[in-house]
Amino acid sequence: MAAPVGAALGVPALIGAVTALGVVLLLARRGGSIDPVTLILSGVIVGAIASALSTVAESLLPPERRGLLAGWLFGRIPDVPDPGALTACAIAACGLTALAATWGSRLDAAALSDDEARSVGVPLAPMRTAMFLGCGVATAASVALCGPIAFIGLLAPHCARALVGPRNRMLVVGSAVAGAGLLIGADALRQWIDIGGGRLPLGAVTAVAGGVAFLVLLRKTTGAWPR
Amino acid sequence: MTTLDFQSPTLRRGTFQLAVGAVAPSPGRITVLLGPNGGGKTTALRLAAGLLTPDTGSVLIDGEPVHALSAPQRAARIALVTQRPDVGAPFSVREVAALGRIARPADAQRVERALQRVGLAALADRPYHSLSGGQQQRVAVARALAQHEPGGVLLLDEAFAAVDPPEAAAIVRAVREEAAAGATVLAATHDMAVASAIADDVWCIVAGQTRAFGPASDLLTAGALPALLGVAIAEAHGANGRIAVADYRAILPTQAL
Repeated sequence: MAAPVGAALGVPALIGAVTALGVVLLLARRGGSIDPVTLILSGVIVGAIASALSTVAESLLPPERRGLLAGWLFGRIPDVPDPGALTACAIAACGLTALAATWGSRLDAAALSDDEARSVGVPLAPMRTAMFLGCGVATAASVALCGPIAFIGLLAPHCARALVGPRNRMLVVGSAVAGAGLLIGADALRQWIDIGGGRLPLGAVTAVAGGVAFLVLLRKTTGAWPR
Repeated sequence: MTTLDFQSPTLRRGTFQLAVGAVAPSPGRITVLLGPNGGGKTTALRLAAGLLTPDTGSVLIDGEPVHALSAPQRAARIALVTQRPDVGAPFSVREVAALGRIARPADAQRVERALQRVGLAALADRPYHSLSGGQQQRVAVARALAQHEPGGVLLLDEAFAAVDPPEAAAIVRAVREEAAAGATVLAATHDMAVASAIADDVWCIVAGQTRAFGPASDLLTAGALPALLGVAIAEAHGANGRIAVADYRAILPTQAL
């Protein structure tokens, strides 16, 4: 059943994701540059609106199709992935990882205040736009392929930082590997736990386990860094 | 030597307008920016760093509009210490100082030397966020010194704030060495003792306009400063011949010289 679902949802999901990306980009630009705080707030608001629209779309579907959409919305690794979405995902992931690793020192300097980052030679505005679009396209492609899978993207950099340190040249590559490892681990856990009527949805496993792990991390680091 | 030339730049942000006129800080000399809060010192420094684009006029570096240069081109000629340095990642002190070299050829020795000059060599492996505010300010100075090329422009925005006198003395020495090597140094400060210790020239900006620009020997005196800053000045004579201290008991009307 996975292939028809992927084919049916992959393209509309990609179109919706790119549209949301464009709206967030327009809202987050201030004075020709992306403002990080406005970006996050815009993303949360657009995400909430998109979530509501998903619910509306689900309610409009014939009852026999709702289960398929619900399965995608929980997040899953498709048995037979849509080739187009899979290719887009692979290109975006590899390209973005290579780009970010190349820009490692610039990304390090972007941790400074905006004025300091620009003064040491970081072209902050074009770099932020490029990273936003790159990350957005990679996220859109992966969500079109697997549905929304929570917390992997938030936890992976923290896991990688503990292993390879904070310098972005290694951290970006480490995060990609850690993200893949976390996803495989969560899928193995999902298949190991039998809840009687089937297996847990992958998105539910990552949301519960990842959410708890992230709260522990938050508790551990609050006050220690970054102030 | 790199030349910095303010060619009557103007900039309006809301109700504030900067219009400092034509001013050319001299290479090889330290120009101290004085003036009240919100008067335009930081805006003038941000214009000089190319971080702001003037509405009219321009700021030239070696004859080129500084805001039109690319970020790496600016970094090769201008180093900046901001008023509130910030680092949003768990880097070590050495890693933060080395960020000054990201657009320049890597030079570990220069980074180590910069840390030594601000008295932080012993703390180089410590996490940046474990340092005090004054120590973090010194890391920002070390980063700028690691970036700064001899004969370039060095911009310091309250770089001595929150720094204890012995460490401030180390920064003063480093800034003096850079000026002696041909750097054009622009330093904004509220500390009259620091101003007296480092100023070759004084540039006083009040309400966005240049109130005075000239040699420190003429302007940094108990006779001239009260009219510029609106506060009485108690002058003492120390090792360098003069120490000016604001006397906050007497608020005076300011006037143009």
